Amino acid sequence: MKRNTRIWVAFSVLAACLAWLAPPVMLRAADDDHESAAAIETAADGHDEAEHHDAAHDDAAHADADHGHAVGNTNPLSIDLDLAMFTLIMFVVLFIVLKKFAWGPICEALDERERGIADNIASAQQMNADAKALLSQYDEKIAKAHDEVRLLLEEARRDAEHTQQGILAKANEEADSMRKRAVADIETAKVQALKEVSERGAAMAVDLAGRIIQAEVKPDDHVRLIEAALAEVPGPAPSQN
Amino acid sequence: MADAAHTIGHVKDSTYFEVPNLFGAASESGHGAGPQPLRVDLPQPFQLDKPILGVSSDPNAVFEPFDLRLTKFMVVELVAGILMCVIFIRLAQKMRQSQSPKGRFWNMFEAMVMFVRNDIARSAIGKADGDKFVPFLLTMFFFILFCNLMGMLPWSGTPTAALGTTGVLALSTFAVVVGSASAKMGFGGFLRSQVPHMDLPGPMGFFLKPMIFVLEIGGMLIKHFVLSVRLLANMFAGHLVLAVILGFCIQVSGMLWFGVVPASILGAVALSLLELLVAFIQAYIFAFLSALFIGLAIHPH
Repeated sequence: MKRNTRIWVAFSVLAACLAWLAPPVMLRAADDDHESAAAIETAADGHDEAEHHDAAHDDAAHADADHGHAVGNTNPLSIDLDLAMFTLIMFVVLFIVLKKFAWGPICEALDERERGIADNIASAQQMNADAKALLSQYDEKIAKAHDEVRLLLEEARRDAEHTQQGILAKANEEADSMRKRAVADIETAKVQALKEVSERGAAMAVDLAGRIIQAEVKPDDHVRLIEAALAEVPGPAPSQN
Repeated sequence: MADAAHTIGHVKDSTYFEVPNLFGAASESGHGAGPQPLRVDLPQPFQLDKPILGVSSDPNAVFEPFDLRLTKFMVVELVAGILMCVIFIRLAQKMRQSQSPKGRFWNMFEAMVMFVRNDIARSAIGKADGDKFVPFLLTMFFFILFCNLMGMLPWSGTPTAALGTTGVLALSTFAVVVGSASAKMGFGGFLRSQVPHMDLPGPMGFFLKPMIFVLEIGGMLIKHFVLSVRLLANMFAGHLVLAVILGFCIQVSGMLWFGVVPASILGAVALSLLELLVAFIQAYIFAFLSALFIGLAIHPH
């Protein structure tokens, strides 16, 4: 849409220029026609055509002379020393001024920028290398930490197993000793009980016998009898405690 | 014939500017029927009555009279020089301030400066020696470029379409070539380096080496002369073709006009675009060849 508008504007400007330039050109064309018509007329009038030609030629020559003055040297290879001098001064002055105020600072700035870029690249590479080194260092550390953790776990497991076995052994031992004590207690109790039973049996027997024989037996005899009787009873096993 | 001279006269230097004269009357000595351009003559405060060199009577002399007159091309060169100073000193300030100028305009010039330094000076002369010649090559490149581009402005002129300008530029390249090589190996060393090393048997070398020396010196002079003519011919011919094509507009009359004028305007536009390209290419070629000559002179083998 916009482009179309632009094209139309350009086209109408061109058309306006043509319209503006056309009338004089058409006028000149009319003049030319008139002139040739006049020429024909003069020829028809019997005037010398050569004369007319001469006149035209003279006119052209005159115009040439006019132009010659205005146009000047038309040799394309001519050297105007004024222009050459001026150009030399211009070039030298431009060179000196621009070298001092433009090319020098610009080239310096370019060099500095290039150096800056090179430095940046170098430092970036350095940083990259550093980062890689750091990364491998950390990788190593992590691997080491993994190993350590594994070792720790193993140790812990071993410890646990060890502790477990210790506890089990101790428990077994304790249980064993408890059982043994219990057995010994039972033994003691049994001996006690047997002793008591035998004592009580003896007493009952003595009582019974005493009641049977009443006074026939004196307390001294009593004791003697009992001891005799006890001697016959098998003694209790010595206590293991 | 008069028309050819006229057309060339528009491309060549003059002592006046021609500006549009929109409402002026058709002049008698003009080339067309339309309004003639207004002629603005330059003031001549220095012009001598009698030229120091040359004769003013010969209209097509190779050496135009040296009489300190001001011409259009001088004004155009001055404008180009002032533009260069304004643009590049500003660019230098910007680069000193912030290291990297902002904006398309400044970056464009910075890119061109970088191009001249890296792809002309350093690639043709070498990095170590090349940087010494960067200011010279930059001045050369941008002066030619600005003069070429000034020629693309309406009512202006192309100073590089005069041998006076291009000759001086080629001469300064020649001076830098001889000067830098002499500074490096002495003037004698420079002359000796013009003869390539050859394994010639004694007597043959005795005869051949002077001849080769003459050839080489001649070749060096010629290539610097060609440097100036190349630029001159390109700019002169380009603008002459533009003038001729636009000249068709005023050559035709009658109904033919409506066919010829649009065609010649379009042709002139297309050729102007080509001229823009040529302006850059010729500046590049001149600067690159200058760098090449310098490089060849200071690294002879």
